[in-house]
Amino acid sequence: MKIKNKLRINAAVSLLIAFGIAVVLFLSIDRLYKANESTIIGSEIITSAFERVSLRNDYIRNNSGRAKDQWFAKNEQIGNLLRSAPQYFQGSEERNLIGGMIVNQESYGEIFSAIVANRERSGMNPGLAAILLEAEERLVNQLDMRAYVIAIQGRALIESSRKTRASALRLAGGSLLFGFLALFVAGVINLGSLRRIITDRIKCLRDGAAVIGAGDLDHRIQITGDDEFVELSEAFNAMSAKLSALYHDLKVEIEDRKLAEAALRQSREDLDRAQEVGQIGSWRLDIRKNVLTWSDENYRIFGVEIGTPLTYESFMGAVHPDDRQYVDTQWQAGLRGEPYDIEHRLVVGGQVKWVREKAYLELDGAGIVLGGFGITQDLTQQKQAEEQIRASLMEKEAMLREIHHRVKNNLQVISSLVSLQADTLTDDRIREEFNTVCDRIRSMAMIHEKLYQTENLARLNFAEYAASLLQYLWNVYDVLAEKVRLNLELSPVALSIEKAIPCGLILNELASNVLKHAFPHNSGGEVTVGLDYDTITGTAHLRVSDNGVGLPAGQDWRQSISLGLRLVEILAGQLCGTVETGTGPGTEFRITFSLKEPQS
Amino acid sequence: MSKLSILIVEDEAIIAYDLAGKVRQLGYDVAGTTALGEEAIELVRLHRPALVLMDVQLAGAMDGIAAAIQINRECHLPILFLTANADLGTDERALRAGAVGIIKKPFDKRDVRIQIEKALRQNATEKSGSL
Repeated sequence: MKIKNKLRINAAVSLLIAFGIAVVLFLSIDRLYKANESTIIGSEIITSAFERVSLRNDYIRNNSGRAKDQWFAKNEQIGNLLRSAPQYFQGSEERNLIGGMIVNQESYGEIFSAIVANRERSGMNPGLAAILLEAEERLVNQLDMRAYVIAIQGRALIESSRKTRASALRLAGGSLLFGFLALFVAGVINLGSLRRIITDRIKCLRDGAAVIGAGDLDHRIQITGDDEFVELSEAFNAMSAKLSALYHDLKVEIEDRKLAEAALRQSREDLDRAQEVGQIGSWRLDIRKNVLTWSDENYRIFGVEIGTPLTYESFMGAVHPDDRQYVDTQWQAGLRGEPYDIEHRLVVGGQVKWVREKAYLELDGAGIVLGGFGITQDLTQQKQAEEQIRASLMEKEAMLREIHHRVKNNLQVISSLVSLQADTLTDDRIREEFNTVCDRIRSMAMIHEKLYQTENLARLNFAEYAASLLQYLWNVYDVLAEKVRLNLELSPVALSIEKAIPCGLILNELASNVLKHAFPHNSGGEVTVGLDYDTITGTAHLRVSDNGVGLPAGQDWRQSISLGLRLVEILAGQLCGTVETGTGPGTEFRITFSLKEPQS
Repeated sequence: MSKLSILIVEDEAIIAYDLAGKVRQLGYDVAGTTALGEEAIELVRLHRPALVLMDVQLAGAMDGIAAAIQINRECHLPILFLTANADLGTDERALRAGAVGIIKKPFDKRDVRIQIEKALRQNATEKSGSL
């Protein structure tokens, strides 16, 4: 049942009790009023009885018409009073008494009327006067008796009224006492009921709220019934259940956030360590807020105490004076959207440092720079290492060039020794053989010369070498070569020194052979030297052909006693290559060898 | 008619000896051989050779290019440089010092002959032109 209904019942009971009290009080007052009225009536009757006695006496003694009239008026008044009296008397005894008084009143009036009539007849017949006087005396006595009875009845009526008033007062007092007792009992019952249905439940709710407020969101308020407190407790329990779920979710979210924050902090520390190890700092610029932030490593690179407020001017203050204009120009270009990736110097603690700056600037739709992220890489050690490597490389290159120079010088000494030895000989043929040795030495020396002129000192362009060697041979064999046309069909082929020296010696042998033997009697002709490289097979082809007399008919060149041709075969073997000859006319040698390095 | 003389400036004794032989075989007198640039300048002053064969690297403090500059400053002579170096920088320095030609080592008698004859011919042409 709803609290409102319960309270209504309580209020109805109270009102009913109060209404009962009011009814009883009303009835008691009514009875008191009537008792009071009956007392007045009784008193009036007694008083009127005595007044009429007095008026009768005045009438009889003085024969006063006025007294007679007043007597009748008073008698009429009392008659009316008695006829209206029953409404104030509800007891049968009192009503009987009133009835008797009415009868007596009527008799009382009739007796006085008889007295009046008797007196009026005595005046007409004086003989009758004594009789009438006697009659009058009897009537007066009757009248006195009636007056006495009327007084007795009035007194009885007053006594009855007194009893009625006492009874009414008792009834009123008892009713009030009972009513207040009933109200008290009802109040006590109402208080108990209110305590049970409201106070206890509010306390239960308050205690439950305190427990939940203390953090026990799993606590549930136990209230039974079907009133609003049950609904409130259910709503409260639902709210605490929801709070518990929210708290759980929040707890999980906080845990997740803590884990994320820990991971972020760890990641930040890792990044700081990585930046420190890698010597790469980072910065972030928010142009709208005019905030420039540096990572710790960036502070270290710039030699600025960590946490120092930063400005573009303080940044430029660390830049090497000779680089400031360059850095500023590049930065302004970067703000216009051009790439910002530069290397420049810093002056930190009097020491010059090299850094690389790279920025990733963020632009809005209108191309206005909003900010950006950038890195600062400390290149000082790298630059120093590069400088050391460059110096070391230059030193090694210088050493290698010196070695090539010394090799060539030593080859010159060998060539001079051969030449000097040749000068001691008288046989021109043998002396010519010595000169051939010098040519071979020269061909080897030219390899070193070409290697010396290359950048990497390890591989040379054999086409360029071949042209130089052939030009040299055509110069030194001037008389023999002046009628021999040289056709060069040389493609650029890079050879290592291991391939270039035997290949150069082969070319030297074949070209010298042509100049010495292909065109006897200074007859002249053409020599074609070709070089090409097959990128698919990785093989090089060296070809020397002429339109001279050719090899002797029927002779296998491999069986020749010529040292030069034997050297060609030996050197081709060193190259892991093959030697093929043409079918003529003239002579053609084709040397094919692989440029792939042998697998170790 | 007396033979033209050629001064040989070379720090490698065998090469200098070989060169001297080749020069004589080619029909010239050897004005002297030395491994030092300073001595070469003295010999030029003393003998006034028709040509100087000058190695770039010499034994003393003065290299062949410095000696050639000094010789050219005192008396205009054709100077043929000998060098085992192959870098173009050396060639340029030699030509700026007044070289009329550069003989690359290792050379043989044919190289020497061709270069000497070419240098003397060129020098003779310049002299006749200047006259």
